[in-house]
Amino acid sequence: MKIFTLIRIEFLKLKRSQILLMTLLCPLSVVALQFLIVVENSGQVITDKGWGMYWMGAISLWYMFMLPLYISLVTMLMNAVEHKNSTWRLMASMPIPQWQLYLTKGLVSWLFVFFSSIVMYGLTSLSIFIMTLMGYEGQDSFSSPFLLHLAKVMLTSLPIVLIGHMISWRWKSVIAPLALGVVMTMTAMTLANSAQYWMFNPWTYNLIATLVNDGKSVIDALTYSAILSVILLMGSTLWLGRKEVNM
Amino acid sequence: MEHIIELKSVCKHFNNKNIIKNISLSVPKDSVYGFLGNNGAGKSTTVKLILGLVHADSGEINVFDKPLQQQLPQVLNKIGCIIDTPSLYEHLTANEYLTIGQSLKGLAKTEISRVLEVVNLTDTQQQVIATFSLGMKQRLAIANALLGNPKLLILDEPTNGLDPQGMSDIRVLLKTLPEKMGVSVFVSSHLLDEVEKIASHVAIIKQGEIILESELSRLVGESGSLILSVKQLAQANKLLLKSGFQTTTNKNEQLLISNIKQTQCPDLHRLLISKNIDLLSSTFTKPSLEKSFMQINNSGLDINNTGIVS
Repeated sequence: MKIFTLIRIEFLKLKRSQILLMTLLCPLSVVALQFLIVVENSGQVITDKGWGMYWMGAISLWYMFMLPLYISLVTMLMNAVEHKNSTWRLMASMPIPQWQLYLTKGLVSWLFVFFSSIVMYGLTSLSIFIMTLMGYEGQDSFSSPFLLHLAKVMLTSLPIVLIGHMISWRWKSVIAPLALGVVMTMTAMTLANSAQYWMFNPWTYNLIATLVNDGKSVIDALTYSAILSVILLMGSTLWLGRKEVNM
Repeated sequence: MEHIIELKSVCKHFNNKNIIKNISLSVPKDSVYGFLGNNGAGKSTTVKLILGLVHADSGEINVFDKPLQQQLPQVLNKIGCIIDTPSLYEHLTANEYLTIGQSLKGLAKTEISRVLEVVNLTDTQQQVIATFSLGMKQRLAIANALLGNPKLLILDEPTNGLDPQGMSDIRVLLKTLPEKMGVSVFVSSHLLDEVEKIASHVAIIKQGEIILESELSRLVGESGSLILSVKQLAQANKLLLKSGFQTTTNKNEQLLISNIKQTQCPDLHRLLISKNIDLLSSTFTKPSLEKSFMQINNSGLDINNTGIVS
């Protein structure tokens, strides 16, 4: 199957690239911030509110703020590898249909949502382990709904992965996908509080699916994500899967 | 004659500007086909059309006797190419870079070692490409194009950035490919001297139109001029005129014999010596491709009235 070869090649291209570094640094920044807040407070927040609150803080920061920005960065870097030295020409002259390359890059970007979230999970667990060594104790047990959230976020992040990938594939500019990511993430923080309008910004879907207790809204967020993803996937593959390489 | 590439009435425009205007060309199998033109004439766009990187507005493109767009991946599997400056992932090593083509073309790993050896980069295969010189990068791009013994090589300015030795190596390689490995070569270049040394056929593109397509030998011809320095100038001149040669004398007291084939020169030398004429020097010159190109490109000749179209 050519698609598996393509996936292997896309990972090969990422060797020595900034994506791997970002996959460590973005979750690390969230965990480090959480950790420092607790240490600053001498662990009192853990004693008072337990590890559940620590997990919730990490999850909120990650899914609401850092992950959408990370997705913009990853989709931009995935395509910048080709824009940098016009290697579109090389890939377009290989015996593979261009739409397969388009889909593979999107898929690999999406897989990085999983990898980075796992790194986030690992680093948060590590920070809790370090804090227990430091003598901080919570009332609750060491548990987290992180993996359940991850399953939902894999679906709700798909539209923003596809939008970022689409823009970064089509245009060489690194500013456009990053600026869009920042603007939409910031507006999502406000729009998420609006029962009427949150669905119009796909960047709110992560937040609604993971942090809202209302079951209907969660189902809605998952449904909108699935529908929008199918539309974006089909539309963008038809539009961009046969682009001219004139550079 | 079997053709490996055929373009029929192909047009292409970008941003309301006609870049390729109704061009037709045929690349014979097992030939080295030089595609000449000034910068901006449409050479690279034609190459991209042949490789399916850009799509023709109208006309037909057949490669390996098949319409290009119908079986693009299968056609590309049999083509090796370099388009313009080498497209390289500079953060990868040479070996990693070649792994991309090797994997996508479904070739054995040993193929990488083979092509690296051909371009003399075996020792640097684990080196990151960013540290390569321009010439090494060009050779690596050629190695990539040679992966899997393609039936057709399409090279856009393949000797760009190479030192004289590198240019010579590539020239020898390209010239021997059709005979040794049954590879047809399409070379787009503005280095006329280089093309003249390797090509069997040439085409000239000017402002998006093919103004000439010919066998190289028909373009530059077999006849040239011979400049002779002799002690007995008047005697030699009289003798050669009597023998049917077209002669004139120049201001350096030399005899200029025009429209002579190189194969006639030994007989001419023998004739002079037999009449006790002291021959001091003899230089044969043929019209170069560069001269022909300049004449055709600047005169606005049309493909239909050059008289040398194959």
